[in-house]
Amino acid sequence: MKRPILPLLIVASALWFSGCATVPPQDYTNLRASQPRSILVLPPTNETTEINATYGMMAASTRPLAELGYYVFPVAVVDLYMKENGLSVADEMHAVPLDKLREVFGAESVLYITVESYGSKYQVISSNTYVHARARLVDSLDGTELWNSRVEMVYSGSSGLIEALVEQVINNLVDKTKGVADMAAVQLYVMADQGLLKGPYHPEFGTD
Amino acid sequence: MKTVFLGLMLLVLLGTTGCETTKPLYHWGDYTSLTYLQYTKPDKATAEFQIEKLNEDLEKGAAKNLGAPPGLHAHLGYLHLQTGQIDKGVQHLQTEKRLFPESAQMIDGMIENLRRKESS
Repeated sequence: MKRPILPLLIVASALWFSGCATVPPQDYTNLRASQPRSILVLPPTNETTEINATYGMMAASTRPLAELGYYVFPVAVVDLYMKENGLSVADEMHAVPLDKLREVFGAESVLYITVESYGSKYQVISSNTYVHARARLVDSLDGTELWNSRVEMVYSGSSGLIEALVEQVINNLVDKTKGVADMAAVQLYVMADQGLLKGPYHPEFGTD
Repeated sequence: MKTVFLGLMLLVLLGTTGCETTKPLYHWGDYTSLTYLQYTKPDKATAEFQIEKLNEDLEKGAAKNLGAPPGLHAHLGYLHLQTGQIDKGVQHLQTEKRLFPESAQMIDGMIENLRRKESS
């Protein structure tokens, strides 16, 4: 009875991991050493022509990062502060020196996101909605890169799945691509072996 | 046959752990959707509308015994300041700082800027 369990476990884990077999796991050495308590999410730079891409990915990032256990600065307050200080676009905000960001916000790490693709392509009978993005987390003290990753999220069709993810009250105000951005953000930050480690507010902090 | 069944059970067990819904750390409500709408539908997501919705979320969270997420009180404080409700604004900023000491430097800076504007 005992013996067959091991090969079955191997088969089970092989099947389980096959989904992410092509990408090597992240090197978490720097992130483990730095253990930032807080993340300053800067408004993402936008390589697309969709004006909502920056704010879609910006708003989508807060929840998964905070649920991982990090303090996430209020993105709209950060954006407004930047604009009040004469920085009107994300590219300019990404160029602000780290010591300045640390001085104003006291952030221990800074997240630089770039949206590569955002929006829907309509075909004859269906549509695909794309959100492609990359992100880079750096230590605000010395600029050490703590983590970087990329996500390609595609949503096909028009079932109610995306709509169901959005809170009921303002459901009909939020567009479909924002729902896909939410899913992209979850995959980007939370996926096993690729996402970030648990932060200090998470009960499992320090165990992954 | 038994081992196959056991193997299937293991597969199911391994397969489901990834999707197991764990208790969230915070009650999110509409906070991040409102943040998004502030940019995409500014006529809908006015400061007044957001204040109303976020206060509802705070109540709902309390009823579920879940705290406000990081940033919510700071965002709410900022909205109050925008509508001229300085005392309420500062109160929420202080709550953010108390709940999340990581925000202290930002909050102190915001309040300092406010006092400077008031006295000038």
